[in-house]
Amino acid sequence: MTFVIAAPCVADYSCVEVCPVDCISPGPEDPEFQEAEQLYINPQQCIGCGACVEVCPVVAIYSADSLPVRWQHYAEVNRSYFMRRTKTDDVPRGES
Amino acid sequence: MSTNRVHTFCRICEPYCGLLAEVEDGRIVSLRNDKDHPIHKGFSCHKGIQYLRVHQDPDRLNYPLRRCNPRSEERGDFAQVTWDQAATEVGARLNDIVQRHGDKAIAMYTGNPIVFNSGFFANAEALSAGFGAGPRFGALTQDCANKFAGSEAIYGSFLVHPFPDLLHTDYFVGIGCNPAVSHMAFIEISDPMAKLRAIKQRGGKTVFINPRRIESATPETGEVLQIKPDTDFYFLAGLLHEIIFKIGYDGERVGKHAKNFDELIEFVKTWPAERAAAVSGISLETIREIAREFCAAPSASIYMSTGVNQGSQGVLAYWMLQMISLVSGNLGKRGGNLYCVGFCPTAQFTRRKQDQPFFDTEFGELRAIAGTMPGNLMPELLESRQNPVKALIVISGNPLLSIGGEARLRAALQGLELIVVLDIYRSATAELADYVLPATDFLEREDINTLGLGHQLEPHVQYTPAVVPAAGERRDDWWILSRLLQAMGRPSLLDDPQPKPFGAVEAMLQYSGLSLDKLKQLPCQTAVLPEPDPEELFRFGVQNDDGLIDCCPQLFRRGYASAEEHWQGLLAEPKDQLKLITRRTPLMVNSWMHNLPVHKKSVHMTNPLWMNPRDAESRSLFAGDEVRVQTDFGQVQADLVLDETLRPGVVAMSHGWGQSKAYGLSTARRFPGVNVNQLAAVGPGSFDVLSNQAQLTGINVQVIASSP
Repeated sequence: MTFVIAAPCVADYSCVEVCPVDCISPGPEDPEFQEAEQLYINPQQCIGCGACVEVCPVVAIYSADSLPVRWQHYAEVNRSYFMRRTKTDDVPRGES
Repeated sequence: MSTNRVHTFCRICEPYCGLLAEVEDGRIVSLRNDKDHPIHKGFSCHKGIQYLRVHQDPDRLNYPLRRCNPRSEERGDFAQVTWDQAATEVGARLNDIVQRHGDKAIAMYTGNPIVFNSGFFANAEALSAGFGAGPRFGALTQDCANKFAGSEAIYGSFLVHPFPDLLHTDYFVGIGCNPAVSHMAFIEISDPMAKLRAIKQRGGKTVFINPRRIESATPETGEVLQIKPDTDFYFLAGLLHEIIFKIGYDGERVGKHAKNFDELIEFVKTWPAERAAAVSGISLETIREIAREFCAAPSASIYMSTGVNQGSQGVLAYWMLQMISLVSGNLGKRGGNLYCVGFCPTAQFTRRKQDQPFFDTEFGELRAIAGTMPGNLMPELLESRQNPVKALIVISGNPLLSIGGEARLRAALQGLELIVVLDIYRSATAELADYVLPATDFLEREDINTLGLGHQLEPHVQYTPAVVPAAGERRDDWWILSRLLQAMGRPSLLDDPQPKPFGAVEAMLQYSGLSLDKLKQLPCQTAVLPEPDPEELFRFGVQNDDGLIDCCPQLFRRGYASAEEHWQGLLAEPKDQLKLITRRTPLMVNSWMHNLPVHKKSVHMTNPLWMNPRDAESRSLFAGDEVRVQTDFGQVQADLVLDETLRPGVVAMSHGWGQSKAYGLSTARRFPGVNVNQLAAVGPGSFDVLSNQAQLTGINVQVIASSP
């Protein structure tokens, strides 16, 4: 079970800090962070612990099976963000 | 720079999730979920992974400490001493106390983390006995003593807890549990949520029973029936009544494996589903439907956890649960509730020694449960006139916050002559100690997963070396206690020039033809064992002399009146009575991880009072209000957070907080929260006589806006 960041995201990075497997991007260290409209969860790496849900200040994070209907497409939005990134970008921080 | 990868495992809760550590120059540089693990296959939660931050925490204890100021001062002034100094001084003071006050003057308290520490746990009995016959206390009576008492009476051993066969079950009822957050106590299971989703995928069904719409209930698992707090016994009795009197039971199975069934029928007759419906908030129709579905499913399993354990009728509830499994023909059956021998059948080691465990004391009749006296009587027993206690040894525990009535316990602790605390942190309890002795964390000690024996859904045994050597002068708990015994001139594991703390573990491994050396050769140092044969329960689990399950243990009669009284009390309560439940959040585990800054975010910077918006509205309370939560026993201040996942009439708080006097924990103290256990009843008459279990949930509270 993975989690998905939906429309309310304000790119606060509490979730990035709490994620134990660094699967939320972009983080404050990444160049694109300044321009980011929202953050994304890499479904390939998410372990489904839900720690990010707890710290999100705007209730933007949902488990993939509980996404509100109006934000159903965000599972794909999150996934495709990581598809767009180049292969080298996709190496999670800390494992390079 | 060479990187060394070490396969290890988490020791925060029962699943023992596989972790992979990367070590460079003797330092752990990363800790991840172990994708190579043959059972866990990469699953672990953030708590295990973030344990690296516990390992690296600058507030950790590194050296033995001796107190320099009087214990009447709430902040300890500690000075570093050598192990020899600490052991010699503590040994001499303990010997002096025993000489003046006898063999019962040293009490001990063991916290929950110690059960995940096999070097200690396998030697626990001998280590404890070395310090004499004083009272033993532990976290056990705060969260699960009812299960120990229940299984000892029914099966003849306090370590037989038939668990739901989630790999095969067609129908699962989970009561007072939240696997998405707490995984599943009393089951060693990998990725429990995946197992629950698979039930639905194969056409089965899951029903949760909980006052809160829990995180575990999703469209892919199942729904929650929002029960009123502390009415689970009546709900379970109602189910059993329906099965026995309406649906029909598996008489053949009962006749073959059980005794005293007629007495059970007599008891259940008094608790029809109508009485459950009257107090539980679950309709008669729904109770009947669940009973029907449970019996109609090809296989059905049932499970209860801390939310029921901490209520007032935990033993009787657990009894009803076992009987539901038995009479519906699901006990010891594939897809039902199972026992699993694993690498060694251990139930025989914990065989009930006496049918009548009660003895007379100055506080009335009492019993020990798995050797443990009631935490709710800890101050009284420490101050006993018959058997005065003068010294307390605390092993990875935090009784000051875990046991109710903090102020009363603090006063009793201050009256002792000597307090010695073994811990990885200078906890709130350690702050009161004369000596604080630094223990290793789980990344610094070798171990195997012994706790799950009997309760492994996917049986396996894993060895882990110490991932890195212990920092500073931290030592393993078995070593510290042995060193104190040695200093007292008593026998200990250290008498052997080459101490063998894993001797008992090696003996257990031999049963399966394994050894620590053999495990070390296997991938992830893990041996995968065959899945349990459902009949193992009857062959290796049941420990009663006649080999039969006791359907109606005599002992339980002591609880009948309380069940009736509580039911009458519930009926008589005002409709708007608020009930407090305790809630574990994903960012805390008891008082283990409160010093991690990463968890102090958003609402989790403190422990708020969660309340249903409807209840807030009717009380003219608003989100963010500071409120006073009070009972007849105590009061705490909390911030109000609205939470529509709660059943109306139910409020929730997290325990393990109240760290304002933990001067050695900089983060925890910055975000102290309040100790919710102050609201619980303590003292004589406040705990379940059958099990010594404290009531820490389903507590009647008043919530009032604090005056500005």
